[in-house]
Amino acid sequence: MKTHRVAVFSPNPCSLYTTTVCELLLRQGVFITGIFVRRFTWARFRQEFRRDGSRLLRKIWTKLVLRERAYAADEADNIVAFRRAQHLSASSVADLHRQHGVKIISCATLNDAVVENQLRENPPDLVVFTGGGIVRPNILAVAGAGVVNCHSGILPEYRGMDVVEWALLKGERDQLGCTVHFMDQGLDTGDILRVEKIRVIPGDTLTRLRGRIESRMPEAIVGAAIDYLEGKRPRTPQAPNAGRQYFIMHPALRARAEAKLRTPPAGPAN
Amino acid sequence: MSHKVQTFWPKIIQHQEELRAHPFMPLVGLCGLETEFGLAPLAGKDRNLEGPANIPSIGKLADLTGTDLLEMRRACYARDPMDAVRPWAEKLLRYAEVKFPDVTNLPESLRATAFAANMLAAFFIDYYASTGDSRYLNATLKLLDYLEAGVGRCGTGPGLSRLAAQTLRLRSRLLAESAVRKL
Repeated sequence: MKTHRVAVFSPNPCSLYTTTVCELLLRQGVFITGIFVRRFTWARFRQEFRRDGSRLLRKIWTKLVLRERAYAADEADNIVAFRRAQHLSASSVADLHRQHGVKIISCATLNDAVVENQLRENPPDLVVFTGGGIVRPNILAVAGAGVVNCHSGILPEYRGMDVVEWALLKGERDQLGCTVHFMDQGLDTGDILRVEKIRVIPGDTLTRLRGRIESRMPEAIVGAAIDYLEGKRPRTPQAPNAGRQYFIMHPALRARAEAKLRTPPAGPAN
Repeated sequence: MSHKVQTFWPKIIQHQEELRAHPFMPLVGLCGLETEFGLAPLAGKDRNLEGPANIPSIGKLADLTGTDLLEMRRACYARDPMDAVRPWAEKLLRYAEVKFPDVTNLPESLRATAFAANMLAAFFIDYYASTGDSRYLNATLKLLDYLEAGVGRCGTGPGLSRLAAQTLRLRSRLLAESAVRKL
């Protein structure tokens, strides 16, 4: 049986999501041709700070400083609990290099010439995206069958950012989950491979809900990527005008979304 | 806060009940106030509301004029079909969320950042009232935060006095907060 060759794009060297995805890929017998890791640059910080504001600082604190400690120890449904259940041990991409000899390529952006050249020299069958910013056409063109991403919302309806909050604000509790899709030049507009929905459980908070979606994403993306490479999963194009692009939600609306989450949905009228 | 604005507040509060009671926010209910404070062209009170608004077909953002923006607000007031407005609204929303406060892509008449924020907030809240698309309410809240974060940033620009700019901002703020409460 042919060994699939997959490259991985990573937002930083300590991403839990990246290490989880890589370990699952390795466990499935996939050969990782390289992990392309975005390094810290002030230009990147400025650009992301302009987009995310103070949220970026919170993100850095939880994702890079606290890491596993950012998740409540008693929660059964988040990426840390998932890793524990799966007995995944690597805590950084450096660990993956030490334990499995996976090649690590550092880059300022995922669209650098170094990324393009490496993908040309050592072509993968597919690229798995675990974060790191917009991927330009020059990279999409040399990414084998394409670049797959797992979006933490339901496509095509909910594109863009804060889609969990937006779905709750609109009262669409059945539109929560994640979608594995190919990346193209648009934002979350590429062909869909797999949609996985989750249910709201009484007592859920936004953090818990996001944690539950996050815990589903590694298996969803790895499963969909391998199924696609084995010809078991077709690509489903998105209708060009379907769905809307959402942006970072204002705190006042976020508070409303959270309040709606606490309110039980209205039952059928008598 | 100037004396005129101080006297304006009670009027705003007086109209707030009316604002809250209306099923879709009484945009017209505030027109009287706007007219009093020199915002007649923006309120649409002295404009001919008969007939369809004159909306240009979609093009570059830089080609959009201040008058076009007012025409789009008029279409919102008049509850015209939003077919012609929608592509522009989407483009302006993307601009406000991604590029703002960089105003280099905007038309010459909207290049004063605070003025652009004020005008866009006014358009977005009117568009939200017409369509119920909460992304525009979201953008309005962010633009108003931007305006209110800077002392003296009230969005004056071509043909818009300081008081009129403050009035327009207050109006957008009231409508936005009323809308948030209704969600």
